Amino acid sequence: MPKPIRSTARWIVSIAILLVFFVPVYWMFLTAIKTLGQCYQTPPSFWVSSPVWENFVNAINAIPFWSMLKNSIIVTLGVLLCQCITVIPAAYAFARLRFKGQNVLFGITLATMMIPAQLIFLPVFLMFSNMGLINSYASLILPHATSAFAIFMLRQTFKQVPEELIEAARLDKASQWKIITRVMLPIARPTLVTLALLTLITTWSDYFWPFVMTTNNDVRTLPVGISMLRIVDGGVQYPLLMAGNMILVLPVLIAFFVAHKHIIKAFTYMGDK
Amino acid sequence: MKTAFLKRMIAVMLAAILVFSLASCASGQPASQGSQNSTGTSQNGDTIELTFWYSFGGANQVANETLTQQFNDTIGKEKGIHVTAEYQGSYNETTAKLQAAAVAGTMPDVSVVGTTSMGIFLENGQLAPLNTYVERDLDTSDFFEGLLKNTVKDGTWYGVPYLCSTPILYLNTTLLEKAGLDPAGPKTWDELAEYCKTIHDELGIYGLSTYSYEWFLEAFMLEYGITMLNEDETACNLAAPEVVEIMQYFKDLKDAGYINWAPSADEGTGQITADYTNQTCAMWFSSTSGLSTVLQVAEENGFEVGTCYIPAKETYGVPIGGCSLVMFESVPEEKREAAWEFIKFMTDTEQTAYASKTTGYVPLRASAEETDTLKELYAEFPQYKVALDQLRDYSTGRPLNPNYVECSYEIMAAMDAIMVNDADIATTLQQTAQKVDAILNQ
Repeated sequence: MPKPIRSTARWIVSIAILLVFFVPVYWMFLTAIKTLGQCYQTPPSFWVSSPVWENFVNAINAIPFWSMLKNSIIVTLGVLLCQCITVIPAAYAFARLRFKGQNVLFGITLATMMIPAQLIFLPVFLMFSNMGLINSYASLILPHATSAFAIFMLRQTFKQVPEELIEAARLDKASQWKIITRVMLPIARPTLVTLALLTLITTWSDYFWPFVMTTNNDVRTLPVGISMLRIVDGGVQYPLLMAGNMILVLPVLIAFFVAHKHIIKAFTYMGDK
Repeated sequence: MKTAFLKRMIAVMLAAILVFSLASCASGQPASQGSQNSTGTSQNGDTIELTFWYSFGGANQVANETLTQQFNDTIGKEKGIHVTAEYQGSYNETTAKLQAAAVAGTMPDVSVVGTTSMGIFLENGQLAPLNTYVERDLDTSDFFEGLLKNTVKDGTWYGVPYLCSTPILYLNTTLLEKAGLDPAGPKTWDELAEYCKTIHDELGIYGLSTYSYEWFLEAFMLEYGITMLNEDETACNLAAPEVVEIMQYFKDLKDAGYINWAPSADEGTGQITADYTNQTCAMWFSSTSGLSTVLQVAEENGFEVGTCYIPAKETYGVPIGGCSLVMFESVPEEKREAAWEFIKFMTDTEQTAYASKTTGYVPLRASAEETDTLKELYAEFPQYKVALDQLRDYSTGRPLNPNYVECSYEIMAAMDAIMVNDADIATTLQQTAQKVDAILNQ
């Protein structure tokens, strides 16, 4: 194929992909600054000449926003911290150590990926209420304190580290812990950033778990608050709902833009192998 | 080397466990204990702590939180009662959470329960009978009669009506006048059909926009003088010739292009909202609870809104939806009087007037009509008054059979099949009736 046509085709495909991902976000933003009457109009308008910025203020005031934001930050950071503690050693052990029952344990770990939250929330809820943990941060953090997917991903990365590097470290009398922190983690950095971002997105935007594990607003996170704008009787105020959603996705978008170089690296690195 | 690694791991684990126990301690403050303690004594000093669960954000949230605050500031302060109001999602989600809480022993003291879910809790014997309190404290004749059909079973009060609504017919009076029609709206089914035809012919838009919804069908059946379920709720009347006639009536209007009928998916509200906002329909059925939203949209888009009764066939008639306030059997004896005080307050004249104004729900009591709150509201927006009149004169309860929620999906599917997919009316209704009967008797 001649070069100009190829590059044009690439442009068209790129723009199409951009539209697929950009338009929903733009539409959400647009609805967030419309009036209620405007947001139902057909044909829909893709431009708002007099944006209603008050929608954002009203959305924040309609729900216990600040306490839920605080809860979201605590839960998300808590889950991230716990996963660091559990996932890194597990991935290292599965990748680099040899022990009895390793394959069985790894199989069980992977199998947990296939169990949806909806299947186990009731027994977990009952267990937590027996322990008096309902309406506590622990009930939102503990069930997500580890991640089979993250263990699997990180194990793959750890396996790709050349044996010579580890041998060299061992010759220098480095402990297992030093090998993890000084050799493995720096090499696995793109994977770690990607996993952290995925955990951040799933935890930050999780609605189901924080809703079923709580009976009051003490530890409820922001998605439950945004749902209060959606679950109303008699006419959803879509502009408020979308304003709330904009606020909700903003941290995720920022985190993505900060981390996106690492993510690309994580996937190209794996692709090169 | 390996032992050093193990030691470090154990240290890390211990640190993690410490962090968690701290976290759970920190959040185990009195506020979160309230709901876990409904069986224990949560009386610190003299104050009785009560937990109250409510459904829905938006206006419902405002009304529930404000009234609870008012109670705490007045009667609660005086009698040493403190109520914490807690949001639990939609009616169905609240029902699910109550069922989970019942198993876990973390029931609230008072909760709202959606009309069609009342039967579930009745069947399980989870609702405290309230007759002693009702006979002592309530002027029951002040409540509109239709409302009580949702809460009183065989003479026993298992709840007090709380936030209730009925369907009404909404009118874009600007369009009706343009089509040369009386903006008071149609009074009978024949007039409704004429209105639809005239609007279609004059303005080229739909006369009516509606969707498959069993609540509306219940209303249509009441207007034919029959009910959805028989007296003891063991069988449905879907196969009755009247229902065939109802569906034929709407099918004919739809086939002529006079009305728009959306499938039940997402409750079809999206379609009718788009239709009335863009003025591509002049009339639509909806709950009274949507009135404030409709008025807001109408003002922005430059048209006037009126309301009228759902037109009559043999008679007028509407089923009452919404929720009731209940007290649970799990509430210990020493807290019941306090829980009743709260229920009594929330359903009293001034409070129901306030709730009605805030949410668009109908007031519960005849005396509420005399309050300044509602007098002012009706003077400014007579559209709200229509719902009250219809409620007082022509309303009744909804089925209490605990399996009716499941039946409603079959009913909506049948309406979809007939109206959207052109299925044969009589056969479809016959088959659905059999399915519904089976579900009712499960």
